[in-house]
This record gives sequence, C-alpha cells and structure tokens, in this order.
Amino acid sequence: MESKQPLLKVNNLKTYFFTDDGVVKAVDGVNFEVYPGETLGIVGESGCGKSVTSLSILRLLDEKGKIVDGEIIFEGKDLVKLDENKMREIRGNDIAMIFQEPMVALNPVYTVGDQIMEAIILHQKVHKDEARKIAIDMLRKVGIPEPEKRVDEYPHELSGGMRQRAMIAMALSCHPKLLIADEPTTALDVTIQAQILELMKQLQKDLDMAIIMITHDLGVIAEISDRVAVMYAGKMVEYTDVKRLFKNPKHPYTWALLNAIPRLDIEQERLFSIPGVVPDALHFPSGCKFHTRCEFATEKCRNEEPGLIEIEDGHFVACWNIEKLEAAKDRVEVGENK
Amino acid sequence: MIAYIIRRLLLLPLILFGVTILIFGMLELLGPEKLVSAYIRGPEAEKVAGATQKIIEKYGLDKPLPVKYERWLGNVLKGDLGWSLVGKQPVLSAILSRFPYTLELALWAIIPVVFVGIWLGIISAVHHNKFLDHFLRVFAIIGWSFPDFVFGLFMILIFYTQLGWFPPGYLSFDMERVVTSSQFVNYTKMVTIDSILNLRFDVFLDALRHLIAPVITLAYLWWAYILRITRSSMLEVLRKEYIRTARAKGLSEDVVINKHARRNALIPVATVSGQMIIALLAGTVIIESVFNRPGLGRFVAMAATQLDYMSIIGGALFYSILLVLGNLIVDVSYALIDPRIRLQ
Amino acid sequence: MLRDEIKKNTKKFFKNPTAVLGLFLLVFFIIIALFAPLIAPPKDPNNPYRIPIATWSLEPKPPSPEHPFGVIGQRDIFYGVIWGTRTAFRIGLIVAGISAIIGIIMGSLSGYFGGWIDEVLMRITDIFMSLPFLVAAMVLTTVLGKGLDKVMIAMIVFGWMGTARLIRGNILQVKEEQYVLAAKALGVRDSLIILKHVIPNTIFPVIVQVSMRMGSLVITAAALSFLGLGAEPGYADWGTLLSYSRNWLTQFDKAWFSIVYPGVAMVLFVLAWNLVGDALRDIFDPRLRG
Repeated sequence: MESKQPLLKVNNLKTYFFTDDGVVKAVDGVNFEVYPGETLGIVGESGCGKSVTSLSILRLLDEKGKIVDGEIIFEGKDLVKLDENKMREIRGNDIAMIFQEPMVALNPVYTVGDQIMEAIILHQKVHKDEARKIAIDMLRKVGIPEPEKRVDEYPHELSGGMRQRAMIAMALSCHPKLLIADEPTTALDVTIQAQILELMKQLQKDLDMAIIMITHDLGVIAEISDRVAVMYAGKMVEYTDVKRLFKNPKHPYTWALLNAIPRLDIEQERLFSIPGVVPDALHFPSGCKFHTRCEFATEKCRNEEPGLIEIEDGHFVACWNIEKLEAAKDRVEVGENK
Repeated sequence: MIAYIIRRLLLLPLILFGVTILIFGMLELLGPEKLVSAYIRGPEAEKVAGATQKIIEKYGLDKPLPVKYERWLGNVLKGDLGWSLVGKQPVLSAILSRFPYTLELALWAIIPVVFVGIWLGIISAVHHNKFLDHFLRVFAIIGWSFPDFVFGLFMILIFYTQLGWFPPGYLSFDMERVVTSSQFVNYTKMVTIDSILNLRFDVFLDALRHLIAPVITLAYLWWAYILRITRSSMLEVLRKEYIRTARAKGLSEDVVINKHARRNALIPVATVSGQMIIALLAGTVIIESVFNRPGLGRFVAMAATQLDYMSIIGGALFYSILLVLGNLIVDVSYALIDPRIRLQ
Repeated sequence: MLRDEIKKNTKKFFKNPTAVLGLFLLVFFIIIALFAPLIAPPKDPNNPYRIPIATWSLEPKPPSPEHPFGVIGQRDIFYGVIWGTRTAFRIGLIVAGISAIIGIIMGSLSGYFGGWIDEVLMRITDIFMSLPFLVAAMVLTTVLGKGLDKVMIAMIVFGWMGTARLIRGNILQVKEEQYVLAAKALGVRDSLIILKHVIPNTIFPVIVQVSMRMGSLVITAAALSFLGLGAEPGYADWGTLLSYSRNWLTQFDKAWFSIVYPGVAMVLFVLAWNLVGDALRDIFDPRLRG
C-alpha cells in the first residue's frame, strides 16, 4: 500500500483560532497521508484538534479559524492555496463529509431528497428528474426502506439511524474519492453504530474510496481503520497501522488510552480515565503537551518538545521516553501474570 | 397541523366575543348621560322632539347590562355601529369608505419594510462584527428609538419645508380635481392603483410624491425591527451544522445563505410580520394625522379629539377584528413555512 | 456568589460602549429632572408644570438668549422641555411599574394554578391583546374623558399582558425543571418552590422588559398628547409641545425649533432606555444576544 501515491498528503498543517481571549493553536504541525481505498483513523479526546484537522482539509473553518501554515496536497493540488471556486468543485464531489449529529446536520426545512439532489445537480450537471433517480438509488444503497417514499420526507420524520444513513447517502451521492467522517456514530445507539460502520465498510469496498474516520472511540478505530493517527493537544503523538497501535503502542498517551478501555466491553461509550484533564487550549503547557498527565515525564519533557520520529518502518512516535514505557509495559505484564 | 388550525378557528369566535364585551365595557364607562347623548347625536335627534325617550327605548339604555349588551351586539351584527358625528354618516360606512386610503398607505409601507429590512438583516449577519454590521446595528437602535410622529415631523421639515420635494397631504389640488371628476373611475379607491387603471400616470406620480414621506415614516421603525430580528435569527442559523453540511456539499455561499440559511432564519421573522401589519395599520392613526392624509387613522384620531364616541368605538371594533384575523392568517402561514409544525 | 455575579455583570455592562452611552444619557436626564426647579425656575411654584406664557403674540419666536429654544403657542419651549423630562419619567415609571405588577399577579395566578384558571386568564390576555395598543389606549382615554391621568390609566389597562405571559412561561418552565420535581418528591410545598425558584428566574427578565417598555410608553403618551388627547395645552409635556407645531405644518421654517428641541429630547430619552434595556437583556439572557 505504501508504494502507491497518496491521495491526500497533509504536511505540517497549522490551524489557529484567533479569539478575543487569545490565539488557540488547535492544530499545530500535523502530517499524515491517506492512500486510495484505505481508512485512516484520527483518534483523540475532544479538543485535541481532530475535527479542526478535518474541517481544515475542506476549508470549512469558521471566520475565526485560519490555516496559518502547511500544505494539504490532494491529487497533486494544494487545497490551502486553491481559490474558493475551485475548492467548491472539490467539496461534496471529490471529498465529502459526514457529521456527528444527523439531526442538526440536515436542514429541517427541506426534504431529504431535496438535500441529496442538490449536490448531484451541482456536481454531475444532471437534470432534476435524473438527480431524483440517483438520490432514490443512493437511499436504497444505504439501506433505507421505501426510498421512493422517504425521499420526500423531512429529516425530523426519520429516526436517528435513518438520518445518518441519509447523511451518508448525501455524502456518497457524487462518488467521492475521499470521505471524511467526523464521529459519525457517536450520537447513535450502540446497535445502530455497528450497523452504520458495517454499511460504511461495505460502501467503501463498492465505491473504492478512502475514508478519514475521526473519533474518540478506539472501538470504532479497531473496527474500521487501516492506519491510525493519535492526536493530543493539536499535535500528532503516534502514527502507525492499526495492528501495531493496539499491539505495541509506543506513546504513553496511546498506552493510557488503550488501558482505559474495559477489555471485555468495547462498546462502552466514554473510555478515558487518564489522570488530569486536557490542557486549556489557550494555555498549552511548554515542552511535550502531554507531560502534565504523563507518569513518565522528566525535566526534558517539560522543556523540550519531542518531534515525530520514525522508530521502525511506518511507526512514528513523538516521545522522549519510549524505553520507560517499554519497561512499564513489562512491569504490568509481570503483575498481571502473578 | 389540521388540529392546530381547527383549535385556532374554534377560539376565534370566543376571542371576538370577548373583544365585543371589552369594547362594550368601554362604551359603558361613559355613564348613562354621555351614552344617551352619544346615541342621540344622530339624524334621528333632529326629526322629532322627545327623541331622547325613543333612543333610550330603542337601545334599551334603561335596561340592565345584559339586555343592553344583547341589543348593542344585535345592532353591531346587523352592521349598525351608530351615527358618526365626524363623518356625518353611519359609522360603518364612514369606516369602510376611509379604509382603502389607510390600506393603501400600509401596503406601500410593507414593501420597503419586508424587502429592505430582511435584506439589511441578512447583510448585517453575513458581515457579522464588521464595520457594516456595527453601522446597521446603530442605525437599527436609533431607528427603533425614534417616535414615528416626531420622525414624520422631521420628514416634513426636511423634505417639504427645506427641499420642497414631498408635500404633506394626499394629492395636489389639481390632481384631486381629476380624481373626483366623473371621467375618473374609482375601482379600488386606492389612488395609486386606480390612476394606473385610468391610465392617468400624472395622477399616479403625484400620489407617489405624497406617499413617499409617510411610507418611509411608517416603514423605518419596522425596518429597524425586522433588521434586528433577521440579523439575530440569521446569526443563529449560520452557526447551525446544516449550514456546514451545505458548504461541505460544495454549494456556493450564495446558495448556502439564500437557500439554506434564509428560509430557516425567516421563521421568527414571519411570526412578527402579523404583528407588524397590524401595527402598520394602527400606526396610520398618527401618521395620517401628521401628514394630513384622509383615511381611517385620521378619522379615528379626529373622532377621539371631538368626542365622537360611536366612531371611536366602531373604529376600535374594526381594528380589533383586523388584528384577530391577521393573527390567524399569520399563524396558519407560519405553520406552512415550518414543516416541523405542519406535521404535528 | 451573588456579589461575584453582580460584579461580573457590571463589568460586562461597562465593556459595552452603547450601554455606557445609554446609561450616560439616562443619568443626564435624571439630573435634569431632579434639578428642573434650578434649571428653569417656575413662576408659580405651586403649579410648576404649567409652562408660563412668554408672549401674547400667537406667532412662534425663534431661539433667543431669553428663550433659548424659542417660543411656540405663546409658551417657552426650553421650560417645557426641562419640566417635560419629569413628566416623561413620571409617565414611564408609573405605567411600566403598575402594569408590570398587574402582569406579575395575573401571570403568577395563571402559571401557579394552571388548569381552567390558566385557560381563562390566558384567554382574557388574548382578548386584551386583540386591540392595537395605540388604538386601545386612545379609545379608553377618550371614553374616560381625556387628560394625562386618563392616558396613564388607559396604558396600564392595556399594558400588562406581556409581563403576564412572561411570568406564566417562566413558572411553567420552572415547574418542569428537575430540581423542582425533586423538591416536590421530597414534599416541599408548591408555593415555597415557586417562590424560591421562580423569583430569581423572573425578576431580571421583568426588569429588562420594563426598561425596554419605558421608551415606547413615553412615545405612546406623547403621541396621544400630540393628537390632543393627553396633557392639556400649556402643560410641560414633550408631546404637547410638539402638538403646537401641527398648526404650522405648511410653514415649518417659522416653527422648526418647536419640533427639533422637544423631538431631540424625546429621541434621546427613548434611546437611553432602549440602549440600557438592550444591554441588560444581553447580560441576563445570552440566548437573545447577537
């Protein structure tokens, strides 16, 4: 897979928010790439910058947010430098996005069909009747029963799961090459979550698209991702494939996240019980951002920020104390074996 | 939705019944002497001596309240609202003959209010916290603080006394002669429409010239109000996730704002529009007096200053029926805009 | 806790330039009202609200050192504007205050008892709202027999419905809150709950509503005086001063000062209340901000 050209390559992305109270460095130098047809998971607690990263790719930040540095190369074009008109041709067409809350992400005063057809008419330059057929087809594909009827219904007439399916139908209606899914299952019941993830995997295979899955839920990551980027306080702390991440995490934060999962019950919603709290975005600590909550933190962590280094082929970690973590892992295992 | 409309329709007679009691109550506050004199001022008084007794008997003025109310209501339902001293004709025909003038003024005022107010509100929201937004906000709050009749007086001072552009009154003398001549057919009694139907564009332009100042006076206050409501509702809507979804689809900013945001943002605006139309009609009481225009508003104001009780009571009844029916129409159309209500 | 809140809100208030302007204007008008006897000494101290006759000629007189705002209808406009400030405060505070009290009582009864009492009271509210405020006030004033006191009564009779609905809504909302249901489950008396939870939730919206209404009440009263239904001629009232100008409609160049001075006073007075009310609303109800 690594030998292929990446579909999307994000280099040193920095997105800052200029608020009345000061500058929030929501994303501060993030690098990753997405290959055609694969799924990249971005995981982290709320406020770590994962959603801002995804909004930066589509340039959908609100007025206070600005991409201050870096490049986002999609099919050879730098999206950061693209003018607004060209960017619009990409949105919804080459790169589509689905959001967390399908109730608030769909416009309440237009029918589901109307909202799906809008993108089809815009990007595929087809007539209204044709667009309607495509929309109904799409609704059927995402498993909505009676799509001919549902197409004329309003969002509030559908259940939560159906709405998210409609959302997915809308996003996929123009066969995007990349789908960004921002916590698409968080607002749904556990059983429906599984159905939606299954559906996304199925559609990914059918349509041969890449997915960026943004979530706080490692269970979702395990279910769907090929490779994973772990983010903390605007930085990437670990970046590798999903197997290595779960089997052999190298960053204390990743390790803590994994330990916070109740082993037998992956479906539980809130997972983290890492000591301390996510630092205030306005006042990030110096050095390694995680040092305030890290049990291995040293003087060096407090003063110098570790860079992301490739410790083995395709496994990147930003930490000064990888050895200490390894030693700790051994201790835990010894303890468990007793 | 249908249940909602039925409930509203069932409440309608109840509310109207309550309104008649309220208005009858106000009439009763006059006390027996003034009441008799209010009734007796009609043409009947001149015909016979001893008319007083007849009036008392006819309207049951010496009877207990419920009987009086019943007789009064019976007369009202028959369209007999008494004799208008100011109009020198029955109150109902006095009101109906003057209403078209007022309606014309109010209708002209609605156009700038709705279009300019909503437009400015959207501009203000789209330029949130930029110079234009601050400017429009200040404009709105000053506008909202300007008493309409003071504004009207300033309009006359500037645009008539100083510049000589927009005279007060209804039509200039010559044009008034044209309108009252036998060749001029009064189809609607609204001169701007009738003049076009009669192909008298000189009359139309003259009418427009007299309309501009009162229309602006009537409209500016609601400009400011609609601007504020549209702005805050638009700002709220623009923060909604479905706006982000619309942008994520690749729609142009124009479509995002004018299709996805505007329809949602106009829902609260629609709720005040009924209130606004009624207020515009009621506002003519002052504006017509300031600009010396004929119409229901000035009629009621004159009736009040000349203690023509039957006319003001009739006017109050007429205005309240307009208000109740107007609110009904707004509630129903509000339900039509918002599918969430439509289906409940 | 409460003190911190007040401190925080005061700070917020003073950070808002338009609010400070409003407060400044309001203080300015309060000073004028308080010191009216010094700024414009009355000729007849027992009857200070009568504007003394300045001239016997019916023609308006432009501003002069003796009459800084000019003369209209034989009356000194400056005197009328100064003492008219007191009239404006009196009308606004009495009408807004009393109608708020009536509204609080009606709304509390409606929200507290609910059921058919609520239904009846709310329909009565609807009925009173079925007359346009200006028309209603005008008719009742006329029926009661004209005069400033009648204007005030009429505005109170037709002015309580907004507060009643506000209070009722708040009570219904509080009744639904979790902590109230919890208190009920513990057997705390209804009236106690309402008292404890509704008052803090309601008092500020009512204050905001009253301050927002002050301006429009003064406008309505002035409009009625302008039409000749309110204060009698010669009374120190802005609307009455403005009504003199009606006789000079076609010759405003001779009487511009009779519009400009009382007109500007009124605009600034209403603006002051609206700015303060707006700022208070921003502070107490962040949902309405924007």
